[in-house]
This record gives sequence, structure tokens and C-alpha cells, in this order.
Amino acid sequence: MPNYDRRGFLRLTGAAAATSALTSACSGSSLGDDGNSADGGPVKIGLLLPEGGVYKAPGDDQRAGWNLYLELNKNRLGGREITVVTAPEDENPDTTKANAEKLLKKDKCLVVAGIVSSANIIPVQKMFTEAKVPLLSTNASPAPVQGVKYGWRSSFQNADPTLAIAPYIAKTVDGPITLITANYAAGQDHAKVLDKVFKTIGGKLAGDPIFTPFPMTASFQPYLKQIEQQKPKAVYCFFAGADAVKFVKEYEQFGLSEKFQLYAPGWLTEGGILNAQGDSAKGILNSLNYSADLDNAANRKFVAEFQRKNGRAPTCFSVQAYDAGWILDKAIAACGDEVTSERLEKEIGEIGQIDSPRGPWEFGKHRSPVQKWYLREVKKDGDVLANVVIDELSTVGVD
Amino acid sequence: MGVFGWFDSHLVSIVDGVAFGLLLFTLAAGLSLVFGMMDVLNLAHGTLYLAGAYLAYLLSDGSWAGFLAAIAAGVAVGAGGGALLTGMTQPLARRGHLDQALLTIGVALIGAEVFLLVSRGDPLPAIEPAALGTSISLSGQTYPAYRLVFIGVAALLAVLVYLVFERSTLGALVRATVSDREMVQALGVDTRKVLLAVFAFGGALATVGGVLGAPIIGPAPGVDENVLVLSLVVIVVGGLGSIRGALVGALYIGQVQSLGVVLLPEYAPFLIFGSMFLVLALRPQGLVSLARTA
Repeated sequence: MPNYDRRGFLRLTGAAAATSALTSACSGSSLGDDGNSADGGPVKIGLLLPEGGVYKAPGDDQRAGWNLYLELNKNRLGGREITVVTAPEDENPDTTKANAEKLLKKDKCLVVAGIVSSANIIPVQKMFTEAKVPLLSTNASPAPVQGVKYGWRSSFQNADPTLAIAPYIAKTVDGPITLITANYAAGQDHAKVLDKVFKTIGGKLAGDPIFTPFPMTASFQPYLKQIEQQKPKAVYCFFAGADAVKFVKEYEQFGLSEKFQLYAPGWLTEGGILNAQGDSAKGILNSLNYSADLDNAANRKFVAEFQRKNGRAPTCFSVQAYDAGWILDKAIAACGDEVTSERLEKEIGEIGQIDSPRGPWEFGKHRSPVQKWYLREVKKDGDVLANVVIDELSTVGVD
Repeated sequence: MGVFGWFDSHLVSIVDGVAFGLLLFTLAAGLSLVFGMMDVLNLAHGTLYLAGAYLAYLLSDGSWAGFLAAIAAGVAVGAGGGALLTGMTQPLARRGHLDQALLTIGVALIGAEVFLLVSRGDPLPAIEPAALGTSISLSGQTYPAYRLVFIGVAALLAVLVYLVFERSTLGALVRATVSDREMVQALGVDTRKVLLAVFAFGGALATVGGVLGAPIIGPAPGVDENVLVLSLVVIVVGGLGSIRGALVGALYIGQVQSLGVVLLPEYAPFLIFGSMFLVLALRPQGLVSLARTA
């Protein structure tokens, strides 16, 4: 007889799965001094960004953008010296909540910037609204936090890129579109928005949206076959991270890129992901609020400094965090001598136009950006593959 | 549409299911043998695959030389990793499954963090040899050529592993150790060496699987966990402790993932675990029961 039993094995597998869910991050660095910022001492700002896990890459890009703004301003915002207290954002919202609570209660930060993941911001925003401390999200921006007091976003609203590009697709593509997306909240939002815009302006879907398993689709081949069965004229997709790499590669390898033009929110081909996709991403048309090749004075300076310091081009994530630095710079200056959380909340609301490398933008009533979106094409820019701006889409985010 | 027409229109899905199944086999074979023989559930097995995928990124530059170098490095790293895990888990042999599971989860977590540190968290490119980087026509549909070659190589590996473990004297010794370790010890065999060899072999197979599989499931954070879960499903479905079980389970899950999703798209998210449930309900000992061969 074999010297093991199946029930024991299954119990063990279950225990193993449960244990792996218990991975927790240790809390970040904190400075012991309790600077009193209301009377001329350093202003304490919290920075809550991923330092590991699946969101490490956007977390690193955001930290680099934030640090660059501070460095260019000699670690002073609004004429005041600042102390930045960092804490890690974890994939697990409970751990992130605990780290955010530490920034609030123990470190007594007057304002906190950061947060990449939508799943994290919902509970964290609730905590900040109750504590009356402003939370300036540098990325996460799902529907439930829009318009909530003591919450601001320097990023976008989740479905904005789709809202911006849908009229362009409806106008340009002569025939129906197939929609394929990872099956989770963000993907479903994009599907809903595309459908809604198409209904009002006359675009057409070739069939029901195709949803692929999240977080990882082992093989896209059966879903690519479903696309072909819908006989579309073009395809719109939403994927991120490793799925984005796999989808784009297989879309090309299985011959679909020759048949159907691929459109997507620009995160599909942003940053290091494009490097992993390589030539298979060529020709993809995508919609984003930023591109490193934007031709304006603020961006030329930003890109040059970012390249010098980090040895790579900035991404949309970097510019969103850089803008958070700009916003707090101006808001702290407007507070004058009395820098408090309540004053910062008020001054951020009155900040007006933000002079960003992505082009000027401002907060809407929902407290997220009203900004211009760009149509970008993946092509060779010199030796390297890049997202090159080929057109401007609409300004999106107006209430 | 006759049977032949049906087969023709689904050929690409079936072939891709075989490719995916054989990829899972390279992981499940080692995982199953190690559990069968040593009672060690190695939850760091996905880490060995991911190590192979990163080796492919580092060494495979589109040339044959780079590809072969990555495979050679995969054998060395995988065997070394397997040997290391033997050394780490053996002192816990009498402490029960949970302690070993905690230890190997710890190794997997540390491995994942190390990969994150060196990769900056981005998915990385892993390219096949340039000569295989094209797509060919398979019954009128486009199919990546590399996957056909992968099927050939992985099938060869599977046959070799099968012959060694099920048909050779060496394999008989391993199978005897799986069935009754004390009896083999009583025959004067140092079973610790057999255990070490099997763990090293299983590790090498998983890491080479990672090198060969990198153009299909490439190096990215989280891949270790995903392939681990899939290979656990494979050995539960196939039956524990045998090469044949791992192969049958892997090919079955491969088809569920491709042909199954094409035929039943509305049930796609449940197919893998649903089919595992089905097998457990109808044949709780797995598709290939070890009891039958013992």
C-alpha cells in the first residue's frame, strides 16, 4: 500500500492555500520625531505605495516620479521643509489599512499620497474621510470614491480611456467590434462604458463581450478562437500585467493581429510590459492620459530629468505621482503659516489648473482629473519600441 | 459536419491543449513523485518553474547557443534546488505535513521576493530561438511554430521519464521506495540517496520546463503560484505518486483548458475545478490509481 492517504493530502493542500493567503508585509520606516508642523517645523506627508508584490512595477514608477519632484524642489514644498513617512501598500487591503492607520495615528501625517490598487483605496478612503485627513491617490480611482470628501486623485477615473477612445473607434472602424477583457471589476467597467457609448453614438459590438479568467488566463487560444467566430472588424481589449504580455503575444502568434486592428486602454502597453511584449505589440492603438513623447515644455524637462535619474523613460504612473508633488507644493504654499489637514483639503479644492507634463488639467466635481486623452500607436521610435502619440482624443472627466 | 470536420475545426485547440498539458506534466511529474516517495508536498515547486523562466530571459537571446545554455543552466539550477530542498525537508520528515508545507511555502515566498528584487516587478521577455519564432498554418489556422516543437521535445521528455521510472531497474527501485520504504531499506538500499536523486530529478524537470515553457508562460510575478496550483490539480486528478498519473492528469487538464473552454465558453471560470470535482466524485483515487499497479 502507498504510505500516504488522499484525505490527508487534500487537507494539506487546503492548509497550504490558506497559509499562502496570510502573507503580510512588515510595516515601513518611520521617523521618531513628532514634528509640529503648524508652527514652521517640517510638514509631515505620508507616502503609501507598493514596495513588493504584483504592483511593484507601478509602485516603483510612482516613487520615482514623486522623488523627482521633491529632488527638483530641494525637498521643500510650498516653501516649507517636509518630512516624508513611507509605508508599504500591500495586495491585501487589511494590511494596507493597518499601514495607512499607522500613517494617520502614529505618524500624524497631515496628508497622504499614493495607492495603486482599487481594492485598497475603498477601505482606506473611508478611514481618511472619517479622520478628516486628505488622501491624494496617485493611481487608484474606482467609482465608489468619486466625489467623497477628503479624497483627491491625480490619475483618472477607471473607465476614462475607454470613454475617450470609444467615439474614435466608432467613427474609424467600418463594422462591428469584439470586446475582450479580464473578468474583474475594472474589466467589467470598461465593457459597460464601451457598450454605453456605442449605444448613444451608433457603434456596434460583434457579439457578447468575452471575459477571460482573472488573475491569470493560462491559455488565451480558446478566447482568440471566440474572437474569430464573432467575425469583427476590430478588437478592443483590457488587460494588465502578465496577462497583457501573454494576450498581446498570442494575439500576434495566432495570426489575429493581421486580421483585426487591436485597440485598448494604454496600460496594455505601458512601461516594462511593452518591453516584454516586444515586436508583437507593433501597431496597437491605445488611449492614455500621457506619453513620454508629448511635446510641451513641462514634459521635455520632466522626461530629461527622469531619464537622467532613473535611466529609463517615465510612465503615466510616474507623471501622476509627480503631479501629486506639484499639487501639494501649491496647496501648502496657499495654506500660509497654518498648515493643517482641513486647510489642505480646502486649498487642494481651489488649486485651479495643474501645470503637468501630460498637459494642463484640473479637478472636476468628482475630485478626479478633467484631462485630455491621447491616441498612441506602438511603433519603433529610433531603436526602441514606444507608444507614440498620433492624435488627440477628447477631454474626459467633465461632470 | 462529420466527426472528421469537427476534429479539423478544433485541431488548433486540441494541439494547444496538448502543448499546455505537456508543460504541466514537467511540473506535476516531480511534484507527484516527491510527494509519493517522501511524503513532502513541495509548495516551492512553482518557484523552480519560475527560476527556469527567468533563466530563459537571462540566457536565451534568440540563438540556439543561448537556448541550449538556458536548458543546461536549468538542469543545474533545478537539480541543485531539488537537492537543497531535500536537505531542508528531511530534518522535518517526522514532524508531519504541515511543518514541511510551511517550510516550502517560506522558500516559495523568499524566492518570489528575490525574483521581484531582480526583475523590478515587470513581466520580462522570454524569446524562443529565432528559427522557431514564426507561425505556421495548421489546417488553415495560424499556429505558433515553437509550440509544435515544444510538444515534440516535451513528449520526448515524457516518454523518457516514463521508460526510466516504469520500465527500468532503477525505476523499479524508485517505485519500491514509494510503496514501502522500510522494506527497501531492509534490502540494504540507502533510500536517502534514492530520495535525493528523485527530488533533484523532479527539480531539474520543473526548471527545464520553465526554460522551455517561458515563451508560453513567461517570467512574471505570480506565475510561480499559478503553475503550482495547476500542477496540484493535475496530480489530484491524475492520481498521486506515479508518472503515468501525472501524464494522464496533465493531458486531461490541458484539454479542459483549451478544448473545454471552446466548447463550453460560458463555464470557462469553473471548468478546471469543476472537472477536478467530477474526477474526485467519480474516481476518488484519481484517473490512474497507484493501487492498481502495486
